[in-house]
Amino acid sequence: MKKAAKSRYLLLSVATIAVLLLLWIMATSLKLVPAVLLPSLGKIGQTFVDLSRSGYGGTPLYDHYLITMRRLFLALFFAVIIGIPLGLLSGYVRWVNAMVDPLIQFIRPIPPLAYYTLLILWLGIGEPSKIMLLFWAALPPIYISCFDAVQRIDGEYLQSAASLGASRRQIFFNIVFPVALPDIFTGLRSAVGVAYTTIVSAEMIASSSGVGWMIIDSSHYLKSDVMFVGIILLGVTGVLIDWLLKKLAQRIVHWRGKK
Amino acid sequence: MALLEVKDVGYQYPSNSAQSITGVNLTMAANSLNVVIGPSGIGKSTLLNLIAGYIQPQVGELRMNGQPIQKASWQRGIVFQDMALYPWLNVTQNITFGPRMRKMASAQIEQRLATLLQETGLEKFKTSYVYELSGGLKQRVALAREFINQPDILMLDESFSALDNLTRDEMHQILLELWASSGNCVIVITHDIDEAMFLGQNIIIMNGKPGTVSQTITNPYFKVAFDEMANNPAYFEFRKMLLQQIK
Repeated sequence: MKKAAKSRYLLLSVATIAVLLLLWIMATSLKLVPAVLLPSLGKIGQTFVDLSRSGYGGTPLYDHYLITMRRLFLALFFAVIIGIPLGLLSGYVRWVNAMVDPLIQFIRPIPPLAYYTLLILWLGIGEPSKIMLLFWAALPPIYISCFDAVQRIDGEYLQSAASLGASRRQIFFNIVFPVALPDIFTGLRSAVGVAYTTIVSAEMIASSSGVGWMIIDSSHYLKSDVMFVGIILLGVTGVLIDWLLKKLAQRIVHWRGKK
Repeated sequence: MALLEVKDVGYQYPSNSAQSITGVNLTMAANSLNVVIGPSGIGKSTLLNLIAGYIQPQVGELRMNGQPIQKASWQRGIVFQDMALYPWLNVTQNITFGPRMRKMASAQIEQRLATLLQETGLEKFKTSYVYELSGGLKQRVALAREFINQPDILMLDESFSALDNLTRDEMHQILLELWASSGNCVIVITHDIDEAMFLGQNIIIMNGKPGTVSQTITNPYFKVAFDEMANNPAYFEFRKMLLQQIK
């Protein structure tokens, strides 16, 4: 996209957000909506400062945030180190596909909350069950993006590599992996999204920490300002993670869409 | 003993009810430049895939140096029309891909690379990514990537068909120079009769339904440019005869 067009679209995005904020300010200052449903931006800011100073439920806000991020990143870490090789191998080796694919396809459409109670029964109410829930949510997008990438590989890449003397193993590491890398990043971005949407569920049951828990717990007492602080915190972090992944992909996968 | 022997080979793609090629017999020697011509869909690329070892014939056999061809090998290199260069690698990494996979000594790789970069005029582009290059330069990389491996047989599947005339002429010269210094057996597939007459020491004609090799002709105009023969009726007679054969 040309630079001028890019700045125009960026301006449009900023303007949309500005208009929404303006509407918010108007609605709250003119008391068009009850404060319990939509607190003012000033109140949310003040609550953020208060939570940062004195915490929520006896735990500082940054601790809630770090606990949530730790759960998220641990789950994503395991989903990446297991999902990428599993997806690539499943696409490349028939017998691996025969073993793995039916299991992933079975798990994929099930809402994570459906098996969360089972995970708690098996792994306890501590961190492992929460991380496992997020892991199972993040695994299928990564697996499927890798598997699809291998299925779509231009056959001539594989044939030419074999005719240049590469073994099947060398082809896997030197052709299959780099060809799949752009899709791996796409899968990773989807996985972050799915894990993110699951985080509140993971912290909803048998938990007393994390931003997700803070949102759920404050909702019981109609503390909408606290809920908004948690939601904004998660939203901004989500946008930041996605932006970082996009930048990382642009830097690493410089050949995306080129031949 | 011939370098390559193709005996009574027939092949039918699993997804196709009709036979692709049948009763193909061929022999090719080392240090020869062979061009296969024939109408579209006659099975020229199928023949190349069989020689490369990507597919196995249902009938007949293919042998190289007396050994059956059973799978792909660096001894039979191939340049596809789309070249299949690796966009995540730069020019040097693309060219040296084969020797690195074969775990050739780095000193030997460096020496071959330096020679090939010079012969193909790619020295200035050695650190460029292949997607940054023009079609002609990409073709040079594709040729260098094969010649560095020094395969006994090198196949080119319509490799120059997408190039403009000027670039194609340049590529013909580069191919002839590389072939002269390597002495390998080159097999070129083309639908361009003038390219066949310029590049083919031997012209192999495929026709019929299913496709088969009907004739192998020693080309009297090998390496003779079309422009030089503008007033030579014998040249045009020969060209006409080839065209009739592939209709």
